[in-house]
Amino acid sequence: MKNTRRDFLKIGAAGTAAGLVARRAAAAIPQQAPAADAPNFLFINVDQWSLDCIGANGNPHVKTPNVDRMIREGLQFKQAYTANPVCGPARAAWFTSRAPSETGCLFNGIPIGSETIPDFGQWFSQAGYETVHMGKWHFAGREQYNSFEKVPVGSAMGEHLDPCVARTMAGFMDARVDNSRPFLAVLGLHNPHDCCEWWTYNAQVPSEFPLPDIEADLPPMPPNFDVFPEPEPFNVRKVYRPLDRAKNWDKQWWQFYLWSYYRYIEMVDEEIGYILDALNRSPHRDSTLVVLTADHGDGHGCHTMNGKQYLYEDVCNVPFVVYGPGFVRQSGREDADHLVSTMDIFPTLCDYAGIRPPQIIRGESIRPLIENIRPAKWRDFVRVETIGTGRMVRDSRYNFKYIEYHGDPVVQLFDLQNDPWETRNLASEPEYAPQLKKLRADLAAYEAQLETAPVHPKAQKLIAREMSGLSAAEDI
Amino acid sequence: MKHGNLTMSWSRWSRDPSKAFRGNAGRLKIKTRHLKKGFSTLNVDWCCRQRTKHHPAMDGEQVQKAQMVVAKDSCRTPVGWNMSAFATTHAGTVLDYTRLDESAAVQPGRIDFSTAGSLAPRSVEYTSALTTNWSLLAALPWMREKYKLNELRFDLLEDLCFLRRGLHLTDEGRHDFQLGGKSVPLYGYKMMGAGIQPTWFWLDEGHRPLLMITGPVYSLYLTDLQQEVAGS
Repeated sequence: MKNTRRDFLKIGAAGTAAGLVARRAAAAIPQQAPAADAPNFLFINVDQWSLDCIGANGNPHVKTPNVDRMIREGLQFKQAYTANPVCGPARAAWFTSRAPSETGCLFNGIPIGSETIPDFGQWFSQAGYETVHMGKWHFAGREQYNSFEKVPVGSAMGEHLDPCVARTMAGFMDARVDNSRPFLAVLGLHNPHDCCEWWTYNAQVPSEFPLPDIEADLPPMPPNFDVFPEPEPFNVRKVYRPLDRAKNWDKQWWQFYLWSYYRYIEMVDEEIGYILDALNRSPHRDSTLVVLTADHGDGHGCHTMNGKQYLYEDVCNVPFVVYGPGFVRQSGREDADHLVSTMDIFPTLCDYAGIRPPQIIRGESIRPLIENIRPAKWRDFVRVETIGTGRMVRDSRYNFKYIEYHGDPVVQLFDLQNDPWETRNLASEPEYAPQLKKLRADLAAYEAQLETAPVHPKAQKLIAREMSGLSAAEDI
Repeated sequence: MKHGNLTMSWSRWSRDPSKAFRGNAGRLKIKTRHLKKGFSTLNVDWCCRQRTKHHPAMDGEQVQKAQMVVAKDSCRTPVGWNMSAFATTHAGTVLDYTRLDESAAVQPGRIDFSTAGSLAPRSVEYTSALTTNWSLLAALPWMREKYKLNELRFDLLEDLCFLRRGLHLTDEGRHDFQLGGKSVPLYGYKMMGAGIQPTWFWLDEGHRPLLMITGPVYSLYLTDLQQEVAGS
């Protein structure tokens, strides 16, 4: 359902968002007030940030003092996975806690297939939270002003608008006087996604390196830069890797790309620090749980790839940090044992707020993990999908990972314990047949429970393009 | 260019390739007024405009207005300021819940901030010389002519909010560009460091900063300049 201009005129500018949120949400969402001591939430999401591109995670070539501090004073999940390594589907999945094939958001611009799947903006608005969304949204088919009460700023390029988005959130914290109800604030920062524009404008390598003063300081490429874990699926070989944008790049130009990507990361790190600083100076410091994650990572040269859409670790394994002095037990912990999904955010917020989550969700509350209570049972695999053509499943017990693309006989199996950079495809090696069988069974069992949405005609077109060897186009 | 009261206006532009946001733009206007004893005031009007055509609030402006006092030195080092930031609807109505009114005083090695609202004061340490993205535009015209400098090192406080540390500005010399069959000389300065994309400033023969380009998508173009009174 789409709002018309007439809707806005009827309701009037003031209170438009709150009115629409209540109206939209009424049919699908049961009334339930949050607990008396329900906390505030600040969900900071960034775009295209890979887990290993953080100073605190051992990367000396990028300075991220603010996220480093979040990690030092909070809790970092090292085995966190996006539901889909593309902006739109990833965001639809974290807002709804449903798999992309259930929301129908299979790629950017492909709208959610059902209005009855609630998102957490609607859910918390209806429960009485003050809900505010600033910055990047990118959830096709659902407008943020139908889910959140306050939406003062949208999203453009990171360098252009991220500072405004961050400052507006600081203004929200400074100006807030009505503390009669808790808030849920979502801050969508666009960077380091501006790297996508970098490669658009730098597809051709000039004859002379344009910045000779940094030539000696260019960062090294990841250890799997020129390693291809063969055999590789058709999509990886023919669709994702040989994109026009990088086909003329030599190694130095890749290093220059990586150098630029790191600067975008530093840019957004400062904006994250600014917001954390505002929160810590506000009356809400001890009553606000902060979650930071990314919709996906960037290839940043791993397997000679940049961008996203495929299923290697550099784009699927995302930063995921929980921060809040009143919430994280034993700060500075690093959880490398439990598999976490960005679909866990919705139920986790519900758990802390004392609100029932929707009846059907695919995530689980990570509150026990935040409070360092080892749950008796936790998921032993996590699934990621892409475009509707590819799926991966990652096992926690044996640290194996399986990838398949629809209709492609070439599948991949990686031993992440011994080969974290995914350099050796073990799928055809007989001694790994049991792992292959187990992960295929996990994938089948998981997918059997999904309520798959009809494939949107745009998505059908997109999938056909992928299968024929053309890359997914942003205008589809 | 002479010292004097000066008003410069730039158009802000994003080369965003997505159609939905290509209309985003904005403005920067800086009025410089000279005080006695080696200081100036900068009155800054800065905004980022959105045209999403989705929602009245989202189609508004992100506005910052600041009154700064800066030293008349090579960095136009900020001494203190009052800043007001807010978002407006498309009709120009201020969204009060976004309002941030902040003042700051710069001490050696430290900036002390305080707001009019509920946030406690904060201090931010800087490690070397200090400038801002706005006072730098006021400093650039004098770098070559008056101070005879071919490089500067500083921390830069962007939009009076975000500290970019350890930046390095270098004089890139004269470049002659061909425009409409004529040769137009421009003087380039390059700024680099952590937390920014390489940024180029281009000044004309009158040392006026005509153009700033940072990264692949974001730039400022000088659109108007008024030299009001020749001053000290």
